[in-house]
Amino acid sequence: MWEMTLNSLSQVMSSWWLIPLGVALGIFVGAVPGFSSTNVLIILLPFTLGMETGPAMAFMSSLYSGSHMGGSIPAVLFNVPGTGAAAATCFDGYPMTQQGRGQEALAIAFVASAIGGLFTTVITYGALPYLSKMVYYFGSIENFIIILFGVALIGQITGESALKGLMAGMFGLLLGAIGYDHVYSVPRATFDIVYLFDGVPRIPAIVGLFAISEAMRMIEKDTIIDASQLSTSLKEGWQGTLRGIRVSFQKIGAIIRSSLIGFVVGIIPGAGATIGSFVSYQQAMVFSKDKDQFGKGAPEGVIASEAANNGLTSGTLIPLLTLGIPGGGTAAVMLIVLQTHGVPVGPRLFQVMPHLAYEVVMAMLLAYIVMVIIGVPLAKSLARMSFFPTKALAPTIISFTLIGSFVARGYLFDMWVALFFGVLGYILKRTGYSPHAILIGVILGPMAEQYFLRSMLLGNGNLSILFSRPLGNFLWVLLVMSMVLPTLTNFLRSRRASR
Amino acid sequence: MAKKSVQWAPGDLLVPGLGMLLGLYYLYTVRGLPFLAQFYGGALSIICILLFLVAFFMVLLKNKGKFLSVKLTDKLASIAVTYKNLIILTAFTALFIALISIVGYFVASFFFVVITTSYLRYGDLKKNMKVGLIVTLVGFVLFFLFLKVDLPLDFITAKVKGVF
Repeated sequence: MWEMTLNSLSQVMSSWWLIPLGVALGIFVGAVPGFSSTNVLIILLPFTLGMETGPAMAFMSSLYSGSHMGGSIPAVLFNVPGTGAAAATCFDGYPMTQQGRGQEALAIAFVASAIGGLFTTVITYGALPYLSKMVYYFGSIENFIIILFGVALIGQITGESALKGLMAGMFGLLLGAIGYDHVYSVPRATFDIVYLFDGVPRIPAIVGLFAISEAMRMIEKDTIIDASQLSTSLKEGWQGTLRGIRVSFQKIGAIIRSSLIGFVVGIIPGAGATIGSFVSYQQAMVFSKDKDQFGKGAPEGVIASEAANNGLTSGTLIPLLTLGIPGGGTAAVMLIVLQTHGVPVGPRLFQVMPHLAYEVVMAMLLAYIVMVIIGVPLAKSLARMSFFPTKALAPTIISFTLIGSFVARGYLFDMWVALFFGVLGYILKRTGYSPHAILIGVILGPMAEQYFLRSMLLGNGNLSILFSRPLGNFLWVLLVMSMVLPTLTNFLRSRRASR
Repeated sequence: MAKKSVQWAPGDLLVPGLGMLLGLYYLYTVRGLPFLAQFYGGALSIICILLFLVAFFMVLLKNKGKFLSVKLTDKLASIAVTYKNLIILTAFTALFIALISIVGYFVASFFFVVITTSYLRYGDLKKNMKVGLIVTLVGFVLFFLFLKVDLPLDFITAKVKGVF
């Protein structure tokens, strides 16, 4: 093992410069709304295909890791999630910026991303061949229950009232049910618009609900930061960054827990970073002592989302390297590169070229260290972007994010969708409904339906199939416990206090 | 600390109202489909319709029917005042999207930023034009040249892109 570690380290170091390049490019790309590491890796395919396999994989895994961290920058500063995985970062990151704590929020996001990613990469490195077996235990039923953890957030992020939260959540889930069904492929509620046959596009929905609606709201003030906090924030030196680092280390347990949640979700092919960050956020909220602070600028909220979506990156490598199953878009591009170079992915990789698998993980490990070195010192300068006058910032955000919403599918229609969700998001905020609840419905709803229908097909339409597998039943118990235990604990605590 | 009581103004019916309308339309479109294709969305539609009824009841209860006595024109006028910025910014954004397919990104983005900053009184026309130019150029370099996004291009943009 030590020999393998030293060998893979020396191999990665032979083209070390690709790691900071990949991380920097990844951070930059992740920060552009609508753009993902997958898009850029596709653009850069001629470049990576021309390289040797090891350096190409090191570059791609560094870029992939960096993109998740980059997504947090616009999410924290402007309520614009650069990627779907950063949507949950907006929940608390942006309120922190509004309170003049943008620098702290960014530092927390960067440190949580790096530690979370580093921690799960170490696990991946040590247990790569064994973890691959986990993939076999997760079927449609288990995936459905895992998504329900995220959907359960609807009941917890309630906005002004629980009833309004429920209304927004159900409306979001119904919006998510537009489009083809996953069994018979019949279109439902598409208004005969071809562009809606695949469902409500996710990126424009995210962009609209968060970025455009916020741009429309921010012009009511001169700056994003509350006027009372502006002068203090302007004078702030490195205190915010240091505070963020300190808070992150104080909450190291939360980072580890969230990154592990992300890691497990990452191993499941097709689950993706968005589910990982929502599930982690739900868990953090449920088990937090300051539940009321979530959505209002709780550092734990930023940690939950960021540690999870970075903890997930190494998880997605496991099915790719050990079974040859790409867990997502980026992993699929990596698979293309591996196949083009004639690398036998799957179990044979560990017989023929075991060093390559470890090189990839080692590169990711170094990428997370580089990420701290690049990211954390930037927090102070980046946070100053939130001092820009909103009257110039709002049209800039709208212009860029509309193009971002166009990028994913290349339809002008998606810009109209983003505008619709922008107006909807504005109205939701004005009337006390939670845009977060709608977003969860739109994003997780279609996935929940897909896995639910697959499970139903497996069970010939019998609902009892959902309770037929041991791992599934264990997850059901965890789900129920995560919803009931906090209420029970609070009840017992208040009873004890009243005595 | 006492919990703030929830307001149920007539405007609060908008979101559940949209949910109800979509629910009705959804049920209309899934009629006759196999059960599994109907089940998930159909159940959500029924829940959305029921929730709208609950919201309607809450608004009636909290306002004791007062809102029905207000004239529709007065109500629309007050909405127009409250949502003035939203309406105008939405109109500008809609114009931007409509224009981009005709005149291309360069012209549409430049005019959108200049018109919006002018409306918001960010600076004088010269300053606003500078902002418009910077935003458009940054967007062009970022999306077209670096990230290779293909938006509908006008003559000038196509020419500039051809150079690179």
